[in-house]
Amino acid sequence: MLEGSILQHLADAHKSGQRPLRFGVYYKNTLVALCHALEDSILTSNTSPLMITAFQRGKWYLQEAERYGEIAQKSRQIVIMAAPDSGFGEHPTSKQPNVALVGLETVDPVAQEWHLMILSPSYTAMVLCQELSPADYGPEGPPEEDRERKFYGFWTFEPGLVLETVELAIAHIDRYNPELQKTLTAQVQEITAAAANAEQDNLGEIVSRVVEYLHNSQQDLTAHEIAASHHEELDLNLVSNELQAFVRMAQLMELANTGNPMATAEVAALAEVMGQLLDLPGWQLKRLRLAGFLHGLVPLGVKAVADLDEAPCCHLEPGVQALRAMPRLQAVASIITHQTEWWNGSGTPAGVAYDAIPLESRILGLTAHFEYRVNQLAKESENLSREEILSKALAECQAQASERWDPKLVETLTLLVMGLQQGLNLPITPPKVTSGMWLLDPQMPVEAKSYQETNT
Amino acid sequence: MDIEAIRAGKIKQLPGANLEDEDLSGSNLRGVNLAGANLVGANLSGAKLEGARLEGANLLSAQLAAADLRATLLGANLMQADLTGADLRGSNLRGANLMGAKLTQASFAGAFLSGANLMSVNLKGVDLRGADLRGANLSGANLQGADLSQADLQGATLSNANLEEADLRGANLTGANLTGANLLCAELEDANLQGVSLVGVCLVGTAFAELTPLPQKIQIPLKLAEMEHIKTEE
Repeated sequence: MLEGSILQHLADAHKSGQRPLRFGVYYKNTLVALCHALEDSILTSNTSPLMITAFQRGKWYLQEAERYGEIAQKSRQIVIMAAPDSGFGEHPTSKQPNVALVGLETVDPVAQEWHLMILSPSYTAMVLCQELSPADYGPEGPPEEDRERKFYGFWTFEPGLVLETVELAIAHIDRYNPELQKTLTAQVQEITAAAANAEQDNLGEIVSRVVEYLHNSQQDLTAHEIAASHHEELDLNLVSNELQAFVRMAQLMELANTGNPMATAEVAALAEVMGQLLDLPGWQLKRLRLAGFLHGLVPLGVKAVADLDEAPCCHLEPGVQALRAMPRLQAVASIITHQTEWWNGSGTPAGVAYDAIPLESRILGLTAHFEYRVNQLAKESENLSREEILSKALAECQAQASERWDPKLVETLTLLVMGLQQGLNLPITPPKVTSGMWLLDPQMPVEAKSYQETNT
Repeated sequence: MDIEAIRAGKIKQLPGANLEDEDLSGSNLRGVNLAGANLVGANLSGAKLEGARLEGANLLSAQLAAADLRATLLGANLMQADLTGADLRGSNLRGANLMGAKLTQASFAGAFLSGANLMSVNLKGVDLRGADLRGANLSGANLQGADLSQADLQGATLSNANLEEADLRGANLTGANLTGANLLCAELEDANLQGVSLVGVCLVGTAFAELTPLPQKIQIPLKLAEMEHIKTEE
C-alpha cells in the first residue's frame, strides 16, 4: 500500500479493530462498471449527495465528464482529484458551480488511487482502490490492454466506513485547497444531520443496477473477443462482484434487523454444520453455505420479524428479484425465498408443507431463527450462561417441532447444541467472497442433478 | 466379469481388478475394495464411492465428475482424471498423484493430501478448508481464491503458485516454500509463517503488505515484533 494514500490511512485505522478491512482484486473493467452503477444511482436518489472522486489522471475524468455533468445536476457537490492533464479544467462540467477540481501533484500517492465516495442522507457507497505497481504485476509485467489493469482495494455500502473515508479525503484536500475543505466539512455536517430523518434509497434497486452494469460488461467482453485466458479472468472478476453486491446488501439488512455484524457468518456456519450432520453431498453444502451468507435478503420472515421493534431497513423484494436475475443464483434465491415456510404449511410465501419445502430452506429457516433467538436472549438476560441461552433457544425450537419446524431437523439441531455446550467451536469467519468463486456452481454435472432429484 | 453386479454394488471385493475403460457411471460402489485396481479411463461420473478402498488404484484419465469420493485413495494415480465437482471431503489422498487432473468445483475440505503431487493443477476457488497438505507439491498451482483456511501447509512447495485472494486464515505455512508465489490480497490473518522465505513473494493487499517497502519488493524489514521468526534471504 502506498505510504500516505487514503487506502492506507483507512486500513491503518482498522488494523487492530474487530473487523479489519479485507481487500480484493479488481480489473479496471470491473471498476468502470461498478462505479458507473453507483454513480448513476445518484440520478434516482431521494437526496443530493456529496461525491468525492480520485481519478489518477485528468484524462480519465475527461472520459466521464459528460456523465458527470448530468450527475452534478442531482448532486450537492462533486470533487474530482486527479493529476491535471490538458483540458482538465476546460470541460463545461468542470466549470459548474458545484464541481471542484483538485489538481494532485504527480508525487501524491492519491494520484495512484481510484476512489469514488458517495455520501448523502439517503445513500452511501464507496469504491476505494489502488493500482498495482509495475513490479507487483510479477514476471509478466503490466498488461497491454487498459481494461486489464489491476487494482486492489474494496467497495462497500456501509455508511460508517464511507463517512470515515470522506473525512480522510477532506483532510487530504485541505493541503491543496483549505477553502474547499471548509465547504466540504460543513456539507458533511449537514448530510449527517439530515441522515437520521431521511427516507433511505432502495438498496435493492441499487444492487440490481450494479448487477446489471457488471453483467452488461460481461456481454461486452464477449463482443470484444479478447484473448481467451484474459476473458475468463475478467469475466470471473465481474461475476464475483455481482455476488459481492448481494452479500453486502444481505449483511447490511441483517445488521439492521439483528444488530449483530457477525449474524450472517454465524448462520452460515450453523447451517453448514447442520448439513454436515445430515450428510448432505458436497455440492448441496456449498449451496447451503452461500444461502446462509445471503439469507438476510429475506429477513427472518414476517412472523419472526413481527416481534422486533426495528422495522426492516429497506424494501425486500427487489433484492431477491435481482438475485433471481442471476442465473447462477436462482437455486439460492429459491432457498432463501422459502426459508419462512412452516413445516405444517401455514408459513409464507407459498404455504407449502413438509418435504415440499426445499431441504436447504428448512435448514436455513431453523438455524437463522435459532441464531436470532440466541442473540436476543443474550441481550435480554445478562445473568444467563451461554449454555442456558442455548438450551432455552433450543427448547423454543423444540416446542414448535412438527408445527413450524421439520422435526428431523430439530433433532439434528439438538445434537448440534449438545456439541456446542460441550465446547464444539464453529469456525465463524466472515465470508471472503472476493474469492468466493467456489461458491458458485455454474455447470452442475448432470449426475449431480439426478442425485439431487433422488435424494430430496 | 459381471459389470452389472459391480454397478449395483453387489461385489464388495475387487482388489486388483481390471476395469479399464468400463462404464461405472452413477454406480453404487460404497465400501467396495478396489485397492490396486486398474481403472484407467473408466467412467465413474456420479458414482458413489464413499468408504471405498482405492489405495494404489490406477485412475489415470478416469472420469470422476461429481463422484462421491470420500474414500481411501492413498498413493492412487489420478493423473489427467476428471474430478470436476467431486466430493473428496476427508478423503485420504496421501501421496496421490493429481497432476493434470481437473479439480474445479471439487470439495477437498478436511482431505489428507500430505505428500500429494498437485504440481500446476488448477484449484481455482476450490474448498480446501482444514486440508492436510503437509509436504504436498503445489508448485505452479493455481489456487486463486481457494479456501485454504486452517489448512496445514507445513513444508509444502508453493513456489510460483497463484494464491491471489486465497483464504489462508489460520493456515500453517511453517517451512513452506513460497518462492515467486503471488499472494495479492490473500487473507493471512492468524496464518503461521514461521521459517517462510518471502523473497520475491507478492504480498500487496495483505496484512503483511506494509512490510514490503517499494521498490525493493521484499526486504522483511525491522518492524517485526509479531513475525520475528521469519527468516530473510537475500
